[in-house]
Amino acid sequence: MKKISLFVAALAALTMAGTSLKVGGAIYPRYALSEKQSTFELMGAEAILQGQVTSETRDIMYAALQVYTGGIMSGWFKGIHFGEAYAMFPLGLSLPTIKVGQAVVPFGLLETYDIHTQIVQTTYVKSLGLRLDPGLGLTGVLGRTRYALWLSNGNGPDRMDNDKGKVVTARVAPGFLLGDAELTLGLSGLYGSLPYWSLDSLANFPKGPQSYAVKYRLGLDNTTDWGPLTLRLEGIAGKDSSLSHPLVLGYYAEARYALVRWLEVLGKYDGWHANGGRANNLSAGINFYPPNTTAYEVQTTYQIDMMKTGAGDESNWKFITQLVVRI
Amino acid sequence: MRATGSSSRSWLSVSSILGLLLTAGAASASLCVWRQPDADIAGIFGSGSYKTVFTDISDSLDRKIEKRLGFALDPDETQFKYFPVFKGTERVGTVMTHAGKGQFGAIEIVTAVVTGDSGPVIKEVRVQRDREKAKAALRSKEFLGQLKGMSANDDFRMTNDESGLKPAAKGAEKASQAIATAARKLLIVYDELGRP
Repeated sequence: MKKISLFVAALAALTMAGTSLKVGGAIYPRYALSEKQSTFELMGAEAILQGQVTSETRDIMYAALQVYTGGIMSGWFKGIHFGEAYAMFPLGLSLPTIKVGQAVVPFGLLETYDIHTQIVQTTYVKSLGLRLDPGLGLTGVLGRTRYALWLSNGNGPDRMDNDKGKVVTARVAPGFLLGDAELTLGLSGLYGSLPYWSLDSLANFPKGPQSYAVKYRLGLDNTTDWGPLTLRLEGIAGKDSSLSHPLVLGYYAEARYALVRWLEVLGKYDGWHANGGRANNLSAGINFYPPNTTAYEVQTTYQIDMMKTGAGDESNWKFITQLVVRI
Repeated sequence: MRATGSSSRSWLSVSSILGLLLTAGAASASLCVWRQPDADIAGIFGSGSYKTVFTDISDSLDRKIEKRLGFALDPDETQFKYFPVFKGTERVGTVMTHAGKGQFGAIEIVTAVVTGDSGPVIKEVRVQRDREKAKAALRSKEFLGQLKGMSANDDFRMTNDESGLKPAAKGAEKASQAIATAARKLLIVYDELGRP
C-alpha cells in the first residue's frame, strides 16, 4: 500500500505540474466448465494508471501502474498477471529507452504478445516460473530490429531478492515484409536463478516458489501476419541447475484466422518436456470483436491439458468463455 | 497512537487516489499506439524528436467532426493523440495514428501532416499493422503515394476511374478505402482541434 501511495502521490504531483495522466482499467469475467466444476468467476479486475511527462519538444518519461482491484486470482497466479509498475525514460530518436520497475521479462513471445488479456497462454509458467520481475533494462528499435535487455531479481513481483543472484534476459527481433507476410523473428537468451517447479509439483504453483534453480534458456520466436492469418511460434531449449543436467524443451504454436473483421477462430498447441515427463495443452477457440468499439471482446476456448510424469498420465478438459471489458 | 497513524495513512492514501482520479483524464480504449516512431520520423522527416499529446473530444467538437466526416465517430472515440515533431526547437510537422476498419481487422495507420497553403495536408501515410490479404500492395508507394498532398476538403473515395483514388489491388477495395478514410478522419480531427 505504501508503494502504491508513493506512486500515486508522485503521479498526482506530475499531474499538477501540467503533465498528462490517464486512468483506465479492465475487467475479465468468465464462465468455466470442466469435469470438476461449473463456475462463473471474475478472473480479475484492474485499474491502469498511465503518466506522461513531456518537455517542449520531446517525451521525457512515461510511467504505468497496474493495480489489481479484485478477482479470484491469488498467490503466484496473481503475481504472474498483476502488478506491473514501471517507468520508461526515452533517451531520444534511435537511442534506447531506459525501463525501471516491475515489468514483463522480455523473453520470447512475452516481449510483444500481451497474453495477460488472453485465455490461451504461452509456456512461461513452466519454462520461466514467472512473468513479472522487478529490475532495470533497456529497450529500443534499431532500423527494423527491436531489442531488449533486462536485469532483474528473478524472485517475481513484490519481493526482494533472496540470493543476490540476478537474472539477465536479452532479446533481438528483426522484422520484415516478405511478399504479403509481415514477419518478426526473435532470438532470446536468459540466465539466472528463478523459481523452480518440477512437472509433478506444478499443482502447488499458486502457493509460490518452494525452491529456486539456475536456469539457462535459449528461445526462438516468430510472429507472422499473413493476411487474415496470424501465426505465433516459440521454441525454447535450456537446462536447469547445471549445464550438465538433461535438456528441457518447450514449444508453442498458435494460429488465428479472421473470418471477418469481427470473428476469429484460433488453435493452439504447446508442450514442455522436463524431468523425464511432459505437459501439453491443446486449445481451440473462437473470438468475437464487436464492430464499432474496442471496449469489449468475447473469447471462447476449449482446452485439453495432458500431463505425463512418473506418477502416471493425466488428462483434463476445460471450456472457458471470457468477456474482456476495457474501460 | 499506532492505530491513529495507520488510520491517517489510510485516509491519506484514499484522498490521494481520489485526488488523482479527479485530476486525471480517462484513457480511451480506442487509442492506437505508434509502434515505430524512430523509423517513421527518420523515414518521413529525416530526423527529429517528438512528444505525445492527448486530447479529449468534447460533445460540441464531436458533432463538428462528425458533420465534416459524414458519419459518426465510434462510441469509444472520445480521445485522440497526436505527436508534434521537432527539428531542434522548430516544429516541422505532426504525426497521428489511427486504427481503421479493414476487411479482416484493424488497419493501423501513421499519418504525417504538415502545414500547406490552405491548411494541413498529408505529407505521408504509412501502414504499421494490418491483417489484409494484399499487404504489400496496401503499403506500396503507388497506393499510399496518392494520399500525399491531400487536404481534408479533398475527395478520399476509391473509384475505378480517374476521378478518385485507385484501390491498392483488386479485392482490396474495402481495405484501401479504410486507409483513406482513416487518413481523412485524422486530418479533419487535427483541423478541428485548431491545428495544435
